[in-house]
Amino acid sequence: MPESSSKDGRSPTRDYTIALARAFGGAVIFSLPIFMTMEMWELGVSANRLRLSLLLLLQIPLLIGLSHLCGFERTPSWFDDVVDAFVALAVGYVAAFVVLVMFGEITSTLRWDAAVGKIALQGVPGSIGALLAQSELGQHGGERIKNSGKSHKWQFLIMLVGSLFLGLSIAPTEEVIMLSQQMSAFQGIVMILVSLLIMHAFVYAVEFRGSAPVPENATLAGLFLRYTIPGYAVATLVSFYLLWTFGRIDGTSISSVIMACVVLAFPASIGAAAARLIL
Amino acid sequence: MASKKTPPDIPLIEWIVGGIGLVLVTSMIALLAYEEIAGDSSPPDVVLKIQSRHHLQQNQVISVTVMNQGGEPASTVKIQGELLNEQGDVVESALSEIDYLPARSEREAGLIFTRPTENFQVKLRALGYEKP
Repeated sequence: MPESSSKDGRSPTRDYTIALARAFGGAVIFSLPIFMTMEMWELGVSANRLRLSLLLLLQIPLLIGLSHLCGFERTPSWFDDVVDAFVALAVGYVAAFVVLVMFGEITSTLRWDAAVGKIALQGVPGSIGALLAQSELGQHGGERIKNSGKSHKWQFLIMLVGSLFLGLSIAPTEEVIMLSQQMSAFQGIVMILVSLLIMHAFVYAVEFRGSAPVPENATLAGLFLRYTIPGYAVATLVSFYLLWTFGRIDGTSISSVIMACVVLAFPASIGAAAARLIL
Repeated sequence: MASKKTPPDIPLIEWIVGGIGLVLVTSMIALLAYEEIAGDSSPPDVVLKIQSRHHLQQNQVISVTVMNQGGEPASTVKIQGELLNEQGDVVESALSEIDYLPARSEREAGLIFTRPTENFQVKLRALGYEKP
């Protein structure tokens, strides 16, 4: 905390207030798509409580890791990362509460557990947004660790967050199951290959701003095997986890489950690749 | 650890993670390919089974397990339950609909009646479905 203060002669409190306001902005931007998705309101009420709790628990280490990468402040210690993760959670929940009350989705006649479920679910992308706002909308761009400085395991955390975020916005919709039903297995295979191609192109080939520089000793095929393939596997597992959390694949045969995962992994893998460029 | 052939060494763990990913992705593709080539393409075969009965405040509900034992998925599966008296006449009927019923999968539906269902013979059947 002391390190980040008074860079341009402002008090630490003022700096922190600004960072907090920015976090709220990030939370709202990131969660607007799901704030305004009908299925998400219903899932807040109907989703299996234990599975929802598991999602809430799992997001904590994820946010701590994310905070370590790009938090509210330049965080020197893990303790600060933990604090920042919980601040992000608070911001996400408050933002979700305010918006849902404004929408009339949370009213005084709603049972408390339904209200808690709605806020808890909608707060997940909000808290990711709150953390990212600092890195993406903030002024600290120059100080950020660049992609090249991040190790292999951090790349996977980034991909996990990216796929979770985009997957979460899409998983609750009925369209995922609908598409997986109307697509043939062959179209599913094409979708896997297209997802892999897009992921790889996004990060290594099309040279977006912030593209990961290709290390000298790495071949494109090597990078494909070390990052793109396991990255896609992460996106698929995240898709499976989200569909399971929302009860979308209960009592469903294996091949239908795989098709649903492939459909959701399409946006989730693009989210994973995009996150590597953005973060 | 420090090999001289490739100066900045790529740690073994990265190849292991890559290998695990490769196994996962190829097995998904293999399963889908098998499904495409040898998969069962029989029409949706909707089988209904009574799972439980409950007395509600105003009604009676029969929970029904709806299984699709065919090889193709079905959507908007309409199911009907009828209460028959001893003469075999329909006393009451109830309808429900399942949005999506994938192949070889099951979903649950509830049929609501006003009469105590134990006193009658319950006849269940699927009325129709839509191809997704």
